[in-house]
Amino acid sequence: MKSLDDALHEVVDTAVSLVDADSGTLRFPVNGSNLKIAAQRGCPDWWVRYWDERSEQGYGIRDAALQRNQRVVIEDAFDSPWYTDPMDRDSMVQFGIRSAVTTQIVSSSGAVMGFFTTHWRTVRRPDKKTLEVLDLLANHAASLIERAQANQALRDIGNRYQAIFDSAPAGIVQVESRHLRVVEANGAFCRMLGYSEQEVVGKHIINDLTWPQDRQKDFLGAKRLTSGEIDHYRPVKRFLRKDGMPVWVELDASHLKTDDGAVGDFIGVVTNLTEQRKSEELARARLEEVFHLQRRHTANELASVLAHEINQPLAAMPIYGVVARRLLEKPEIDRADLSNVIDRMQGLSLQAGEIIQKMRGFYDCGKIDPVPMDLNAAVESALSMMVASGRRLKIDLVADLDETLPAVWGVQVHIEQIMLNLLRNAFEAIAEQQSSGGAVTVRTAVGEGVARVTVSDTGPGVDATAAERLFDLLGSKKVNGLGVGLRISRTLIEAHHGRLWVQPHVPGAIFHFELPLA
Amino acid sequence: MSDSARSASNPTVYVVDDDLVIREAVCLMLEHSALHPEPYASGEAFLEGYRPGRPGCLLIDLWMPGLSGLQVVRVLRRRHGDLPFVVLTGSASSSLREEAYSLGAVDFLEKPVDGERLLACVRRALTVAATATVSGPAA
Repeated sequence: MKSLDDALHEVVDTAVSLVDADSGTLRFPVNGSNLKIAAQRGCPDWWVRYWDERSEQGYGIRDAALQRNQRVVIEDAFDSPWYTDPMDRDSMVQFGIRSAVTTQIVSSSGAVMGFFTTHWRTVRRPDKKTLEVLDLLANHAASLIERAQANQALRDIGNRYQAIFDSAPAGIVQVESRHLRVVEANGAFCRMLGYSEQEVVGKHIINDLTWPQDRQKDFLGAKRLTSGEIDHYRPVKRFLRKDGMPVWVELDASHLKTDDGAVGDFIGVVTNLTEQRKSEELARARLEEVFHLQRRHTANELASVLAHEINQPLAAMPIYGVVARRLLEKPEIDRADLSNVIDRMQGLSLQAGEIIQKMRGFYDCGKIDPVPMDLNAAVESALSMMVASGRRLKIDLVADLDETLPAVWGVQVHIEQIMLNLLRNAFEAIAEQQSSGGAVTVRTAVGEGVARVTVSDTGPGVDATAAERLFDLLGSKKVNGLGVGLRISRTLIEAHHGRLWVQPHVPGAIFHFELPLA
Repeated sequence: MSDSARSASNPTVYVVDDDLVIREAVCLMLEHSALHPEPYASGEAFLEGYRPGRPGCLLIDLWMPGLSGLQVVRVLRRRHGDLPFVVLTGSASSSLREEAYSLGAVDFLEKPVDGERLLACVRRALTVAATATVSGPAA
């Protein structure tokens, strides 16, 4: 295949030799620019540069004439109307050119593609035969250049395709459609299957390179492609690696059509699913690990909270047992005292049971697998559970929820439990007061990368000293399990990568918790 | 009965535990066992209410808000000399147990504990208290 550059030089050389000229040029738009001297023979560089610059400045008259006429003939450069600037004539004199003929090259569609000029050192009026030869050459030149241009375009496409083919992250394989043998395969395909490029060429795409269980399906696919029944065959399948291992891939096979419409080679684009699956699995495994650790941490913490809390009623029971025995040892059994002791022991067992119930509600098999969730929905759900007791205690529940709150990472049931705990604490704080009634306000708002829930009440509040001890397991008021609930809530929120704290404030307690936005 | 006679025949058991449930149960048991308990919800409250010179013993929790049980024992010893004591705790490490014994603990009990055993320990501590000479503040 001749390149465009070769073709242009061939035209100049042929023109100069055919008409016995001394030198010649071919002006042609190079890379979409103005006409430039794209090929020449026997012309000095300074002269070529001079005329290229003239073209750029817009050397209009002669070019316009050339567009109209067949050709421009300069019999004597020293005395020619075509040279409007004396510099132009001087350049010819200095080069030593006396006469010239410029011929148009017209494309098959009739457009002027360019011009070629032949120069002589002597004054000359070209004869008819010379002009006829130049016209013939112009025709030949047009088809020569057009062919070279087409070739160039093909080569560009080819180069581009080759670059894509070589560097594509997906595997690309070209398969001869009758015998299903590999014609060519890119690096990605070869790496996927563990072969070198030389090894893979000639291999049977199904019998040699496909996992046995997937062969039959592929034969059918190839048949349907060949028959034209389908344009694309897109299975998820296994190739067979050189080392005998399967490779899961997503294949997109289609065939190249030849000019006459016949079926050409198959082209397969192959995406490696094994690698994709591997990295997905790895990420999942890592996440699992984190959550597992988190779960264990939470489980440990909850277990120690549970052990501590449940130990108190358990420890009290055998002591009451001794009291009961002492009462029985008396000559006169005081039934009222004994009944009182039995009541207390019953109460203690129930209290222990309640603590376990509370932990269950919070912990729910220890699963902490946050998913994107609607925080407002969890808040509303907890509020709805407290409406009845709010009415009974004359406590107003006020919800001020940000409707535009984005989703957060959380486990809905845990967040509800935490909300319930905060609401119960608020209710108890209000109920402890002398005056009846009060209000609890719940707000949600967006912060930096987090959503925040604030629960405030009209109870006595928590001062700075109490705030310090509130989450301390031993510093908490254990009578009604306030400390336990807060401690578990904080542990749970931290397991969700959030935080929970109390804002020292008197009167009226203010609790906040935050969860990361999904 | 003179004041000192009452004290000797009915010594005081100072019950120091921040947990109301335990405090109430233990005091009730001691009362029904012919002993004289005095409940305190914290170490600070006990140190404030304690009057030296009366025979008795201390039944004390280790982990409480504020002063810990062993801190209370140290302060008491510095101010008033030794008072026999029994530790009753929810959980404790072996090093804490050793520390308690080195401070002179009569016994070290972990909750939950058999009530009769607790009672026996308290009685033993009171025996120690009766035989020991109540000394002045330690040098």
